[in-house]
Amino acid sequence: MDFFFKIKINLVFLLFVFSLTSCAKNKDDNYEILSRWLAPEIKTKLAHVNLVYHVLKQTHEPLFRRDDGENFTSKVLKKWSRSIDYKEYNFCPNTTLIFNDKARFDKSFFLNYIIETTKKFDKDFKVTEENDCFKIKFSKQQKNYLDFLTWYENAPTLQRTENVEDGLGEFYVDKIENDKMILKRKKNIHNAFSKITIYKINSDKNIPTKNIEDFNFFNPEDIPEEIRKKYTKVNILDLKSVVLIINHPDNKIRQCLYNCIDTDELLHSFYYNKKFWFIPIASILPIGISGAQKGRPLQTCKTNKRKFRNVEVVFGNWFSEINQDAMLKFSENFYNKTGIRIKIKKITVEELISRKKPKSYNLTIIVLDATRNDPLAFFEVFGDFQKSEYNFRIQEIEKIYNSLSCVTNEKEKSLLYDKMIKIIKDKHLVLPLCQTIKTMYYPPWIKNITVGRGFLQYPEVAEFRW
Amino acid sequence: MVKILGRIFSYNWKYYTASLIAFIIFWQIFSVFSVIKVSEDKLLTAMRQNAAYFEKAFLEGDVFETQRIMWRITNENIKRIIFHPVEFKDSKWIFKEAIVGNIYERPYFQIKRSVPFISNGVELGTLDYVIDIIDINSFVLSQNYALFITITIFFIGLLLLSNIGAIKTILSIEKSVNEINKLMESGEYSEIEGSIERSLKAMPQNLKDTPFADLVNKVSEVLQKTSKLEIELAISKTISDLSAQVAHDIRSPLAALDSSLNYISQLPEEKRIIIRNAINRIRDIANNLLEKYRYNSNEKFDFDNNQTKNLKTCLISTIIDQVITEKRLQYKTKPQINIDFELTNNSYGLFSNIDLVEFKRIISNLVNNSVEAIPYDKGNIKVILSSEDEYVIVKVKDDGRGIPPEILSRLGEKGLTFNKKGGSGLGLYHSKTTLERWSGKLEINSELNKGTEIIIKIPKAKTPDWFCESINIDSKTKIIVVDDDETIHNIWEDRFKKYNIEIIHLYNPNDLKHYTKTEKELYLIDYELKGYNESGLDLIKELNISDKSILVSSHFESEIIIERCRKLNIKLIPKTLSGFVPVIFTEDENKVKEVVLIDDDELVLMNWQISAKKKGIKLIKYKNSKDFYKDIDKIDKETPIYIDSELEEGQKGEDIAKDLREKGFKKIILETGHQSERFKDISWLKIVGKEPPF
Repeated sequence: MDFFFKIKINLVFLLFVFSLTSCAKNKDDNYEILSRWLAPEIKTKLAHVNLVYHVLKQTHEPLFRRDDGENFTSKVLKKWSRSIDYKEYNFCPNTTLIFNDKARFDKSFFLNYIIETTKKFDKDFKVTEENDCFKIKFSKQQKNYLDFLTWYENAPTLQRTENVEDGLGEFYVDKIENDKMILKRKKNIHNAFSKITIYKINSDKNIPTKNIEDFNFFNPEDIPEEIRKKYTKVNILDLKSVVLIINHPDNKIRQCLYNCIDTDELLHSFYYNKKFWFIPIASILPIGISGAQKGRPLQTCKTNKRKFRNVEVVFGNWFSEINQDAMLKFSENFYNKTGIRIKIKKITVEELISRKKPKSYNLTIIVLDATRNDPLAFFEVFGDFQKSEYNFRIQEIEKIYNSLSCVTNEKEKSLLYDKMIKIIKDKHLVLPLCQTIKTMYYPPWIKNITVGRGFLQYPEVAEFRW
Repeated sequence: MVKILGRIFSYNWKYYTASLIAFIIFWQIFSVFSVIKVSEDKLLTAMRQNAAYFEKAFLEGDVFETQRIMWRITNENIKRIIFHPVEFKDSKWIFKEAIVGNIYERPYFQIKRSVPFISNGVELGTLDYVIDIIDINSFVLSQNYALFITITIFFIGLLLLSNIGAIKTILSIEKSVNEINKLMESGEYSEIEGSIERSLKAMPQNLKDTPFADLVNKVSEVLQKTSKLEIELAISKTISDLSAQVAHDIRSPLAALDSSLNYISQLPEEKRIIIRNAINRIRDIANNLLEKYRYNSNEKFDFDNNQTKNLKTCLISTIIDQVITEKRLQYKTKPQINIDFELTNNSYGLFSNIDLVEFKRIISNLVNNSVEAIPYDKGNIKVILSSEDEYVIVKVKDDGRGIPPEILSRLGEKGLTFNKKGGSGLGLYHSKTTLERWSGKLEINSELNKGTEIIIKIPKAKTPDWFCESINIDSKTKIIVVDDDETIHNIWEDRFKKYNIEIIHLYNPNDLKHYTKTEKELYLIDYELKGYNESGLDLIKELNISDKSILVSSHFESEIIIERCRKLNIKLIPKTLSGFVPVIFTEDENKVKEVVLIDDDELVLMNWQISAKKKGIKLIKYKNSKDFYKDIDKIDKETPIYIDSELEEGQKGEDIAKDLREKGFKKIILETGHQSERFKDISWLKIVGKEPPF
């Protein structure tokens, strides 16, 4: 055989083999994330907090998943079934799973876990053990039971230390320090990350780019240019609504503020020089949550300068580093328009998120968000006085809010949400400003980043391969 | 069976592997494309089925519902789908695009297609989908690997089964060939044809009537013929060797006869002629046989083993002998023309640097001329070999018509011929010019009606170191003759009897080994001892008697034997010349001898004096030639005179030696520390070292 022909044959063969497998690049196995903030503790009850939720997605595994939004699957159960009338559920746990070196996901743990979790859902049930499986029997139809079990708040968990809980996910929290949090994989896999490190970084200057995989806890405009050019970008709907809390006891003043504040001017003044893509919304619910409304809130500004001549409201400005002048300008314009003085007061983020009452400000911009498609989370600031931004109680909302836990019917729930939205609107408690579209940046060499799964784009690092 | 299978595989593995790989690649590619096509079809079908639901969600701006529907549309082989909505007024859709699936980009290995998303007649937008070939390839391979394994095993089975017949045939042919090879190696050529016949019978039927079988048959016939030819050749060679052996063996008794010719003078002339002619005839037969053997075996009668036009040192007597034999044969139709070659003691050991072929031609031409000159095809031609001074003399005498004087003076000119029908006149001219080239001469003496004598003179060459110029003995020497031929023993007995010395006759190597050695011995040993593997040289070496041995052999032309003689430092006497080798008998030691030494070195003089006194020899010492010349008349001409080569006042010993020779002194020896080569120009002068010769 001719020498060159032999070479060609060998090259074709190698190409064929290569194309079968597609060689893996040698990468660093530490998935590094930059964040402005670190959670001091990782517990399932804090699943509503974004960063905690992100960590829980690595360390915990809920009993069920609904990745495509329709079908339930489980990585925790070997087998499961239900009755057609949604009254009986049969779960067979996978007892080979472990929380850590010392604790397994055994039958006794599962029994205890399923009882405690189901109690939160409905107290009227029975649990029986059959072979290696457990049957949960409800007295009435419980269509939302499986959905309830998809929440990370209800994922199987085991307290390891005061601040850390272990779950059935592929990672566990190794350490939490002042400036970083380290997660380690329970069982290393070839061509996959074996470690996740979350770095806390305060200053915008000198954001490190080398070896950092995830910048998505930053605002997109804060992400370094070279990363934005190099990484694969995906636009996702941020399930957050940016609203102006109007914390004033006088409804008339609240009404004036609600109707006369120019939402665009406020946004551009507050987020001075920040470029982001926002969508105006007409209610506190962001698009993607049932009941959300696209558009702008209906405003009819009727001014009475003489009436509000001596009225002064305080705007809590927690973004004061660069927007002070713009906000003063905004305040001046509003005064000229309405006669109401808006005093711009610098506050810290800690003061903003603290639950101390009374609040020292009347106006502030906050972001309402949820970690799952559930409107309830957006009403927490109104329905739960302890967590609210108001110095006064909104009893109508509180009543509805507290009753929601007992309502299982979706239609009924939806009506109650609409009712609460109407009350909020009538009482001018909140001025909806916008919803943001977030651009997520992911390293181009990771093969397993799948989007469109769920509505919150916090990736599961355990699935990543290169 | 294992062997057959192994052979099948070894012959075919490349083609098998190539075809298997080709099949796998083809099937894999086909599968990949099939999967891609099916996935696309599934996607498009799902798109059509869900179009109405998608439209509803899209118009409501329900991002999550549209997402859910996109998951329903896609399938496991679609990498991702991207929906690009159309823009229209009052649209609630907030995104430019919606992506569902894996966002990993793999340039060159992803197929990207775009289709319009149509629902109930309206285009909602475009749906882009991406198919990753690498992923599909891996997926398909995971499905196909079991098939590939099955195919591999199946193809192996097919390969083996389809080739069993062919391999069996090959193996039967190989078996046959091996058998033939064995027969050839063992020399059993006669069995080959039979073996081939048996092998053909054993072969598969389909091979028997094929050209291959014909070829095999023809090959066996050729082999048979070849083997017969080889046998004939072997027989011919044996006969040839036998003839050569006979020729060699015959030379010994022939030498004895030659030697005895000297003693038949008392017989009547015609008897002597008969005996001489018979001896000559026997010699001719022997030479003829030997010549044929040399021709067949390419043995060269050339001491330097190189028969070219270059001059070589040759033993003249042997060459002439050969030519004469040829001439006798040539002119056997003229039986009354006697052609004789006369060897005398003077003929012994005459070497010359000649072109062998040319010299033979010269002698041949001269003999031819003599034959032609003899009238009525009755006469005598004699070739005599002798020496004079530094020349070898070859005389070709005839008793023919003779040459007139006016012609005689011009003979040798180119083109001149005399009394030769058809003669070109080139023969004598060529001979003359050739001889002159060798620093020789050609003389012609003739007398009308009496005869012609052509005299060739060529310079003597230095005797080769292996050649025995003379046998030196004294009264105390014991001669031990070792030969299997009685006639040789007779020759030596005859040669040495007059010296009154002891001669011991031994006939085989064992006798020699058992012989008790004494001090003063001379071994004359034959080379070839019939019936024994050891040669004379082997015996000499074994018994460590090379310093007192002379090899006597008719194989004196053999380079190998000559070389061995050189290595052992042994001299050689051609057996045919045994009767002519000079014997130098030195007088009894007890008799006081006189030796003259001319040397200016006191030490040498003292050394020689001591040695001579021990031997009872009278040493007459001279420090210079002047003193010697004063006493020159008192010194016997037979007295050995030893002269130093470098004397006082720059005198050269060899000059004094020349002078003494002219004065009639017979035994002049140059004693020197120089190599004898230095004095090669004075061939008659003996050279010895500084050590006393006694």
